[in-house]
Amino acid sequence: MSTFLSLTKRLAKNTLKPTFADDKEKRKYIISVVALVVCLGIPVILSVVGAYGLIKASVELGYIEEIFSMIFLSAQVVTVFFGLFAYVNVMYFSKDNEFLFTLPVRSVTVFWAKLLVVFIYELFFSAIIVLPMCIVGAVAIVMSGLSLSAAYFVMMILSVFTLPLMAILIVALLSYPLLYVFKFFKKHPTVGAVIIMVLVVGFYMAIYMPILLNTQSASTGADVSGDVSGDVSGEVQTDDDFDPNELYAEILPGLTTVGKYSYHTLFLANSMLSGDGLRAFGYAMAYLGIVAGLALIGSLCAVLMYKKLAYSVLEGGGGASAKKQNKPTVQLSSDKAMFKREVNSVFKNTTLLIQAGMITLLPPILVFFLCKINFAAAEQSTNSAFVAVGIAEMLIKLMGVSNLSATIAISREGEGIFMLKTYPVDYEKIIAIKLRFANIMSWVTVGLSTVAFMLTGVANIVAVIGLFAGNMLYMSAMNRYSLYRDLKKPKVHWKNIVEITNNNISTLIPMLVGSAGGVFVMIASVVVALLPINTYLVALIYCVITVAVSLVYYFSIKAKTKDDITQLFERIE
Amino acid sequence: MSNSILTINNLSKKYRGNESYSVKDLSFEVKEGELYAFLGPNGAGKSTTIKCITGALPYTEGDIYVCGHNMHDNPVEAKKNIGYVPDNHFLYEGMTANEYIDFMADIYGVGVNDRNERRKKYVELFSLGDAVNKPLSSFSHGMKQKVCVIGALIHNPKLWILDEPLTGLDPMSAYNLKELMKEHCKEGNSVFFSSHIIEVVEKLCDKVAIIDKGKLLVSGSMEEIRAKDDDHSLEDFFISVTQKEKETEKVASLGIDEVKTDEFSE
Repeated sequence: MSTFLSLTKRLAKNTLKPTFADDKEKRKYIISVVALVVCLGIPVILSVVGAYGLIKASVELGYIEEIFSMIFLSAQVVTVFFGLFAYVNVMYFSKDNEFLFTLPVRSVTVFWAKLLVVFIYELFFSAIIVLPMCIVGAVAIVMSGLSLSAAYFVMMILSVFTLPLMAILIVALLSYPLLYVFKFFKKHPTVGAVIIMVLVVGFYMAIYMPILLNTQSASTGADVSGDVSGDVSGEVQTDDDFDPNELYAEILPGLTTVGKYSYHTLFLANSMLSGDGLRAFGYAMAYLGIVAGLALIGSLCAVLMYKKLAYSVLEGGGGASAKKQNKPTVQLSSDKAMFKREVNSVFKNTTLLIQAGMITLLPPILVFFLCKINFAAAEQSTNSAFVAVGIAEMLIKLMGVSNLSATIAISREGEGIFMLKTYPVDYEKIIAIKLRFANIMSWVTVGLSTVAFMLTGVANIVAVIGLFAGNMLYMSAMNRYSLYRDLKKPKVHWKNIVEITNNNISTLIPMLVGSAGGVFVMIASVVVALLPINTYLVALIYCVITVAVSLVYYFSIKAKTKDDITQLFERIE
Repeated sequence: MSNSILTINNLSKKYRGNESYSVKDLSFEVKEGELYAFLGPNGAGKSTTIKCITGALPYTEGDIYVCGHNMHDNPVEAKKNIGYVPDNHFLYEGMTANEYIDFMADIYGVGVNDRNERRKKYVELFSLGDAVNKPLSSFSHGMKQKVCVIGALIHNPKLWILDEPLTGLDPMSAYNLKELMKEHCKEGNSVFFSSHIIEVVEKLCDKVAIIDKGKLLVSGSMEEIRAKDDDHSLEDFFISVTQKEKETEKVASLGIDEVKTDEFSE
């Protein structure tokens, strides 16, 4: 037992505990985290407010158990998604396996220690979804005039622990086929990354498409193919008789379909919401029975497979087939060779390519669906059109500032940065090439998001131009700032690339600064839309605001990043 | 400095946050055609010195000249004359060996004909065969080392720097590498390398420098070293100078003012 505990403690410290060079760095980190929580709190509060309405309506319309079942299922899907990478990385691809297998410790002990570490990590994702939603749910239920039993809160706490446990055991069961998939990705990173991106894009479309179709049919009361782009002409109709309950009545049957057939989460929901103590107990037992059954089968299979799979990963690596080399050799200039290297360093690394792909492809998809759903749900008023503009602004800026081509431009080189420094290429040129690549990635995101926004038909062309111009400028400024921050304090001594972003203030601060601009423009665009003026004039004022904010960012960042690039690059050690 | 390929004057390096110097007041010169070895115990400052010479690390004081170009004032021109094989055999693992060699050739501005000719020669010498079209991530430690060597020689540098180059190589490849180093010097270039294998240094090198705790203990040609210590091997000599340094420090720490220097002092 003591071996298990000391191993778990060490692994947990290595994986989860932040390390700081000094107290100053620790203080800075805490301040940044608090600021980020405050900044991200605004959209979270908006989501919670939205959830309140939905849960309250579901109480009145008789869908409460199904809605809770959906919430728990969503938490599990998120946990499986994040858990999948964490589990396979910690269990099989972690570099410490080679060392741990030489220790006089049973492989089962290593397995349980590692599983516990992944579980602690996943607990966080589960808690931030389940707890706020359950608390809002409790308020909505009480406000609807119903009472809650103690079972609600007991099972709420239990669910935080059991939902990720189930998710991880599902991942553990899937790990055998998954490992082959991961091995394939290692050999063919580009194909692997494209497959993952297609799956994620498909996942988002599968979530949003039914909601959008239901919302459109509910708001138009007609065929879903009907035109919802009413305000492109600049004349927007506002329906004062809009009843949100009518809309919920249309949405809820579709939204809760999956929740109705997800028996384990439905049992959990029923155990919390059944007023009758005996029934609640029965549902709780049924749910816990499923958890225990899965835990038994999942852990048994995973333990049996663990050592075999971990060894197969340790043995892997060789045996790669040679590429056919038919192309004649062409000499490239050092600039072009460096740019090609920069592109390859992201596009031939599965982890980086998936992240880059997500940041490029998700904003347009989210912009399209969220803007369209919001606009349709809010009956296509001028105000909702500019709430949609605000949503697009927030999404593009928030996801755009996470552009890893800029945020970890130097750090992702790892100790290879020292080799890069030995090449006969001017340091300023190296940085300029990195910035060029980061800007291209961001501009593609902004371009695609603008097209997606245009396709929603939510706002007029003036607003579309503002969205495009403002964000192109904004991203150029933010990329410069992110790259500068990373250059000033790079984290190049890492073994696993995820260590770069773990507890790294340099990547956190640009995200904070960038999100602040997004929040400001989002609020400003909604406030402007309240003015009793023509839609085109609203769009024009929005244009001025978004471009002005971007210009302020651009020039202040330009002034702030005046330090000698060569000196900063040279001092990396 | 007419035929000097590498000149180091009073080089000192202190890492950020460290109180003490990792390299202190180092001075020596590598001339055209010389095969120069850099010896020292673990943590002596060999890799730090090499990293300063190649531009991988900034240095605190002193000057480094490569073919007359100051590494601080004119780094790009200085680096054009260096071919570097690091001790960790760093390679871009997303590339194939061929792609890496082409990348290095592009960076150093080597024409297509020259690079293909050199590539063919070295790939045959190191028996890499079809492996050159495989991803570097699938390469063993020794194979990576070979690709690093090819990448460093693709532009036929005036100064070839290798950090612990013989570690991990099979006997045939180690032999080929030593022959290649000699051949490179015969063509009027220079080789500067660090090593722990004293027998190899003794047989291969024209000159040697011994460093410990960041300070140069001794430097000179193999003849000069042999003249100082007739009856003993380079290994005995290495042990005696590094051991003497430890004793000197020990005496100094005891508060004795003067330490009698012997015939090994420069």
